[in-house]
Amino acid sequence: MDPGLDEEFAEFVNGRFTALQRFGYLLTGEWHLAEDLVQTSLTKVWFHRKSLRSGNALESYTRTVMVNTSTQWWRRKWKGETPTETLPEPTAPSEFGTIDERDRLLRALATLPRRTRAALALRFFEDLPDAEVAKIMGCSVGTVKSTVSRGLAKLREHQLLSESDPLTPAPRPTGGLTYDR
Amino acid sequence: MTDELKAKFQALVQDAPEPDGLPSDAVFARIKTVRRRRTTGLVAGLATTAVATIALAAGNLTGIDSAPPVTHTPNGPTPVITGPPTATPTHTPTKTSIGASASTLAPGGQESDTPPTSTTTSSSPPPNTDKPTSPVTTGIAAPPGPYRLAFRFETLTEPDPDPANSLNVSLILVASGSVLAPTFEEGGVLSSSKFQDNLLYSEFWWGDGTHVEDDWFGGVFCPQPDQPATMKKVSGGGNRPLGHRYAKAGTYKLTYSATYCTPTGPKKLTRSTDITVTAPPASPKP
Repeated sequence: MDPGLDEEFAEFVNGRFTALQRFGYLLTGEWHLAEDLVQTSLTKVWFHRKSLRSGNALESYTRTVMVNTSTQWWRRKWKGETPTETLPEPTAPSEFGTIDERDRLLRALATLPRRTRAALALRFFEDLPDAEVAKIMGCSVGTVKSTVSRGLAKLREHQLLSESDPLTPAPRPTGGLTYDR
Repeated sequence: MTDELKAKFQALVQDAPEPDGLPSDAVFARIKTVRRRRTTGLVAGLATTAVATIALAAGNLTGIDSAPPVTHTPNGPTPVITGPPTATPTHTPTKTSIGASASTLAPGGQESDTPPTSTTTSSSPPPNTDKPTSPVTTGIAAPPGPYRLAFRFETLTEPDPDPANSLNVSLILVASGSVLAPTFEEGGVLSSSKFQDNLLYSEFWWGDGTHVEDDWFGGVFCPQPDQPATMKKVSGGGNRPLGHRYAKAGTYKLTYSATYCTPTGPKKLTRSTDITVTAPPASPKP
């Protein structure tokens, strides 16, 4: 191991772990899986640390690994049951509107394909331009745009967005609640 | 709407739990585990190959008039001697071996630049798969061999016409063969069907002190020899461009090493090639 490189890497991990974990939560929908995803991805990234000296490259590559890993895990592992020491608390509809809305968003995200969810998180949560999202996801800008557009349309179907996407105008929901800020 | 979704996302993740300790400690613990597993996997593979080689050698020592090898296997079948041996055996003695491809690989699990100089077991054709050479105990066998990896370096047909780039080197690594797809730490196999993505690990040295580790999927390792159900054979080939810029002119030795999986464990293949780069022409003084 190179002590200097490892020191830099540890600094990056400790500084960006929570931010990466938040991104991981949008990909997985569960905090413990998000933590697992970030740790696994950072383990993979560590093997490439020599060629990723700058902070931006390291973080960008980490996001790439997270997106790829979450997709692969979904195919293999996360469809199965996960043993747990304590039984989860029974879920019930929340009486608080905010939490209920977050829960609805989480459920809506869970219905999206993994890569669509990743594209939305990168585009709207990380605020990255389409070109950067395309680079991270390993696809063309056009694919990113269409993926994002489909994702937004799906969220609109769940009545979670109040306005239509300027790229692909969709009919506004005629019934049900809309959530305006 | 962009702001609306961003606000919703931010509200969704606002309750991020605080990490228990230093996050880097947990990550480095995982890195240590992965590195240890790789080392253990390589040692286990070499040990398995050694056992298979010894077993094959013992099988070959069995003469036509001798009794079958005694394995001392607990609960194993007891040989029954029904009479004196005849001069002409009525059946071929069964060889004891582990894995279908053990005899196709060089001893020690390492393949090198030196091609085999004579007809040895490492260059002999793979065993006839119609006659299983290993006792079937689980009903599931590893995909039949052979498992081999081959690669070569190809230079680009059209060199860079710009003299200023004469210190740049561009090569194409052409790999082909049949390997076992590595498995993930959590189980399962790689989803990529690309041949080069199914190599366990690779690294190369440019000869000027530059060493590149080429680990696409950290956290993967070879399927365990005793779990043939997890083994998936991947055959084919793929190209991989390599590029490097040397600091000064000279002849350098590029060495590429790839580790791939077989039913008996990981194997390593190393190839080298000499690269000569010339200095760019000196710019005329004004």
